[in-house]
Amino acid sequence: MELRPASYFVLAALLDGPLHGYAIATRARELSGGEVRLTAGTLYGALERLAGRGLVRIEREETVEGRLRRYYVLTGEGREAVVAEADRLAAAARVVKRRHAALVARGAA
Amino acid sequence: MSRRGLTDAVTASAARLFPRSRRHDAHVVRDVARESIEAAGLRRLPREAVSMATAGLRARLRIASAELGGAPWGAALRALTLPLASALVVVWLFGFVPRYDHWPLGEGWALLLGGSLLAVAGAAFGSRWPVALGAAAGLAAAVAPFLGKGTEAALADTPSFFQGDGVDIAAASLAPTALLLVAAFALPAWPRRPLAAGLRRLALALGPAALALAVLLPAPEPEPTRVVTIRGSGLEPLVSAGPPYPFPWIAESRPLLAALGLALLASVVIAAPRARTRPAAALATGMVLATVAYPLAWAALNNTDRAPYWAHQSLGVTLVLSVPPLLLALALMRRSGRGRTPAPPR
Repeated sequence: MELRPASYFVLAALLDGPLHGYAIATRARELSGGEVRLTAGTLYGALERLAGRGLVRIEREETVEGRLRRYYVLTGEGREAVVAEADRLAAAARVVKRRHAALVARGAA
Repeated sequence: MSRRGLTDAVTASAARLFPRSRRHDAHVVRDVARESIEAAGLRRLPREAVSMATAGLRARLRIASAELGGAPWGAALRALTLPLASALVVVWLFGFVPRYDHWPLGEGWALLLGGSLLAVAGAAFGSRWPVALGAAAGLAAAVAPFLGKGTEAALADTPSFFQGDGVDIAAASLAPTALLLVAAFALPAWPRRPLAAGLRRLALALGPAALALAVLLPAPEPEPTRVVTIRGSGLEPLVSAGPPYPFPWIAESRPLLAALGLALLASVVIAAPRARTRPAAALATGMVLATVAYPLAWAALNNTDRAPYWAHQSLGVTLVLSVPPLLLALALMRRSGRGRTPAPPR
């Protein structure tokens, strides 16, 4: 199953363990090199979709300094999905790199 | 106002766009937005507020779709066939002549009264094809003026939807007859009701029409038809009295429209509080209300100089007339689906 970039980096952020919403957004931005910038609303939509597909689940909620934080955790399926997507992207990247390397080698010869 | 106060006020307002059943989610999202704005500065506020508002509206839309999708459409369509067909017979009885006197005689009656009577009979016995045929005949009659058929002048030159100070209830029946046609296909192909039960329902459904006839008849004395003969240039046209119009001349009735409006209002008042226990009735009422919302609202406001002659002549009035009843219809439909839709996952 193909994942959108935002969903991919949200799942990737959760590989390290349970995180709350703002921490997921921050971690996803770091992991994507600043490419994925999630606002609260888009993060909510992405997490709801992922929860609907059984890839993440709510672990707990807590209030910190008057702010309600909901922690999400990867499910087994979520872990498999993000690893499968990483493999797919890596395989796709390998195809291009191999062809590009062959072209460069041919040009040098 | 302090920076924090502004952030809190804006994000709290945006959170209100979430549906009530998702208020807890809204608080979580709001607090994520507040943390984000705190870290990035106030320049982040508009983006976060818009994003929250969009998420809230999307959540509303998703819930509304789930409620509408979960509503008992088939049962509601089956439930509305008989009352709607019965109302159409009454409408045709009252409204046939003033508008359709120029139709070929047998054709007009066959399409309008014949069609709606056939639909009533089919609905009484719960049989698809008579309802479908009857509704299709009514629909053809309702569509005709919009296509310039059954009128002596082109559509643009004749008040085809609303007729001067009265509602052209035939043309205004376009949506209800279309609904009846769709509803026919929710019925079984062949009647399953016992004959006695079908006959009882038929008698009940024709009751309003019988009452209407008792009120309407005897019809006014037919007046002679004026025949104008054009005799060529320079000569005055010759006006003579022809034979009286051969069919009963029944004027359009405002009390009828008021009675139909009140009957519908009563249905709404009765169905709305029972929508969870009897969702099909509420949904059926909502659907009928949606199809007649505009003509009924127009009729209610008519002769007050606020209603436009044509719908497109005053978009504002048209919206005021049609949006509230449509919203009411939508609310009924959602209410009927709400009882059957599972609560959102937490």
